[in-house]
Amino acid sequence: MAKKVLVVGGGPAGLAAARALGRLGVPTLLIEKEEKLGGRPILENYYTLIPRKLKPSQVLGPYIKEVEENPNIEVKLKTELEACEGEPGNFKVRLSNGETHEVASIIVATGFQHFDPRRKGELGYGIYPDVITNLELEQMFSKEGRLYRPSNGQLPKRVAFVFCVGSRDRQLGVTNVHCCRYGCALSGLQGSEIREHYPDVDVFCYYMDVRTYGTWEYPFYWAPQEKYGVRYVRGRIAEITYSPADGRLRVKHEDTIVQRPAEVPMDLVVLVLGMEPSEGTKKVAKILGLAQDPDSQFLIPSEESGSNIVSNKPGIFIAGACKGPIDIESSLSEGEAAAAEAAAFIGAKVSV
Amino acid sequence: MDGHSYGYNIPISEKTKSVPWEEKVRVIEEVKSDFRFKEYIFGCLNCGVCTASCPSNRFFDYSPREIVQRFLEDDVEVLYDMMHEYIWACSQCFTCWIRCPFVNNPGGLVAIMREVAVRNAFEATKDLLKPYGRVLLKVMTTGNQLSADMLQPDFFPDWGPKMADNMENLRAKRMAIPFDVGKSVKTAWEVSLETAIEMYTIWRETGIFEMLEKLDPNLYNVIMDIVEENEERYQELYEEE
Repeated sequence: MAKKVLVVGGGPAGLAAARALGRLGVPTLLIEKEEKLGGRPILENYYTLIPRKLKPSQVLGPYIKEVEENPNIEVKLKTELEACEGEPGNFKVRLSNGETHEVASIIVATGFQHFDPRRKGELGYGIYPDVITNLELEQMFSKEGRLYRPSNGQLPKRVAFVFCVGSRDRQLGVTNVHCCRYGCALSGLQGSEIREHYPDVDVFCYYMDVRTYGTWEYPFYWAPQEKYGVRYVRGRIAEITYSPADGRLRVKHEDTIVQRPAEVPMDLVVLVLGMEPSEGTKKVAKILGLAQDPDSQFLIPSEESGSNIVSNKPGIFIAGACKGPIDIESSLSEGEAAAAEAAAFIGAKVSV
Repeated sequence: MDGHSYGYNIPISEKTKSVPWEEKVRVIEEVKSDFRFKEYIFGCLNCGVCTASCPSNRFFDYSPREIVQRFLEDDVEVLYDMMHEYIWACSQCFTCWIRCPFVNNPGGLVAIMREVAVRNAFEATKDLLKPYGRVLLKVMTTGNQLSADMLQPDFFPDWGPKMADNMENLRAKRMAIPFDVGKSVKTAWEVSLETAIEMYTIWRETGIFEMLEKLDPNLYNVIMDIVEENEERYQELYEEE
């Protein structure tokens, strides 16, 4: 039996899995299709991560460093999985660089992609420059270090966060009914950051429900309100238009608590994007024959196992956002759990 | 009672206050037993997208979210009352339907409620439909809903002062249109006798004539005179052949 484990994907879950396997002394092959490790948070320059308000380099930097330095781990960048044959414990995988490897087990950590808000035409993304995504707001903070309206470079007076763009929405088809899980909390954090640095900027969050579950409730829902003065209005934004008269956007909604229709001026509108399975996740699911949710297309765990890491294929484990929206620290934990499962599966023993 | 709740935030109008509870339940059950009902309502996030997108909501006391919520709450008193005025503010544009994240169809629910209101010949429905008598006459006899001779300045003051001039010499103006418009001022396009007879058959088979008889007996008589006259003409033509 080949004692090597293949980890597909170098984002938080894949990095955590590879690092844990390396620490256990298991020969590990990590493949990543992009040019560097770190996944979405690093590749797309996230600013501050929920829930511990650390920078991506603080959270993922140590993982990347150890994965790159550990002699048990071989990292192949710009490499994808192309084919897989053989049986559990003895897979023969072919990679996009032409190499073939024999591996005993596979950990899939192929992640998600952000929803493309152009699919919600009524929200005006791609039409009005001052309608941006929450990802673009992160990049505004992390790359440019200041808040501005893309149309004129000036500081906005009023900023709106539009929750659930590409989530909880059957108009887009059955694929986008799920909740994104991170959006409420990240918006609370981004809104607080804006209010902290620019106390004169009014921030409004338009929500249907605020799902800052567990211990996230205070830091990402209560504190934004009582410490930073972020305002929450209940109602989903129906439409975003632009008024040439004052050069500002208009957001249209019903305040469903006071039952009042409203159309209010905004200078900057931030769309809170949903999560979809990445192209890599869908591709790997086909190659490995992994079960997918018929609606969302995310990977689903084995029906026989109580563990959500165990896939429907023996010897193949699934971790992180390829299984549905998830936060980064849970992704890291799942990667580590998958590593433990894979190590047990190949019969690796810890030498004392 | 019967698992139906009573409305409390909307005052029930005088029109329906004295209607017995059982009658209200019967009418709302008639709406809910329509075959389309289950395809028009699934659940509700109370997000307000329907109401925010609704053109009628801007000008009238009408909210598609309210319709959906009242059905989900099974609020018979309010729903029954809504059928007497509230639902007639809907313009049937169905923007609520194409925006709803649940793909509910509040406009479709209103369509069913209106049909039930007409079928049950509510007094309020009779009053509401009175101004549409001319359109109904045209539609039911010719299948055209508007024709040149219906454009009269008195009826369309909002079209401006020039409209009166446009009404003069209607026939000559109509004839001057350089493509075939049926050369008639009574219909917008030519309706063959066969087509009209087919349409009358549909009205008869689907109970539309009965509905009209209950709603407006005078209009019903006028329409039936024209229908019967056309049917006799058709019969004669058919026998000649």
